[in-house]
Amino acid sequence: MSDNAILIVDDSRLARMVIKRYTLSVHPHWNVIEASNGEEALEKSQDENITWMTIDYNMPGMNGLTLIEKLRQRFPQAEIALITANIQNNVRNQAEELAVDFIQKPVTEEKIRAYIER
Amino acid sequence: MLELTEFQQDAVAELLNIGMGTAAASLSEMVKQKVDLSIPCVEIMLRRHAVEHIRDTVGNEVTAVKETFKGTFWGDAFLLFPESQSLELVRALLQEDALPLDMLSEMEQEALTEVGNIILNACLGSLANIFEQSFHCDLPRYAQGSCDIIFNRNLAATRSADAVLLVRMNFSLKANNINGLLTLMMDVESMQALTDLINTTFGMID
Repeated sequence: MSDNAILIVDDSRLARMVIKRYTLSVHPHWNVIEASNGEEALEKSQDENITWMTIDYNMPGMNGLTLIEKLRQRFPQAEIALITANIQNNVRNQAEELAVDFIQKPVTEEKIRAYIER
Repeated sequence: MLELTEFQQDAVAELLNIGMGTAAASLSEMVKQKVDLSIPCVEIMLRRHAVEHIRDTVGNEVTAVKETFKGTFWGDAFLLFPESQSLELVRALLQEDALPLDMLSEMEQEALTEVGNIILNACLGSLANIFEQSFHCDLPRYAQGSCDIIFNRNLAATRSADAVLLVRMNFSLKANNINGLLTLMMDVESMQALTDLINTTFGMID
């Protein structure tokens, strides 16, 4: 098992499935933890050492940026990307302020590779 | 009934053109093929006529993804296509997976909701950025059924029931023979707010 664990948070199962598939095609031994909302993400990541995250913005319950603030306190060294269909400048700017990557949906293999291979 | 000036009508059409262009690029990226777009159409009409227009384009039995947006102007954005084509669209999306039919059907609702989310957000996000405004978009809602049921369900929640601004644009994926429709529907107050915003943003006075 690798030392790396990626937390994929998205209310769309399709989006999680695609992100997971592209991640494992590059890093087959990474531990993948999936969650469909912020609460579940906080719960499932509690005893993990998360090193990478992809977080959706529009989800039931807390939005992705609120979740990122909470997760960053728990995993200050982790790489974080906001992956969202919401391309409004205000969301992009907030992601920038939090110093997280902004990846515009749809998720493609190229975008995931560019994020996790750097 | 409120009327749009020729300039306002042209401006709304052009803005949708830009928004839909962004949306089509996203769809094209997902299905890895060219997406053809029609010329945008902007009309004020009675709601029941709007539903008839939609039915004429995509048929009575439709698959719909709806997002309600709220901001300086507000309304409902719909991605619609004939119900009979929805599995074909899922197949186009998941082309690399060669999933069996039962798995395709199982994924249908979630996959189409996510497609709707991406397309509608691309379009609405583009509009928000042009106006330097922000919209709050509700989570996407998926529905399948007759146009009457899908749109009459919305009617009860609408404040100004009769006149609506219907902005629509058709798209097609020729390789899969899929035709869809993206529409924005706004009530009279929202339409007025939109035209005020167009006048302010582009420096036009009625």
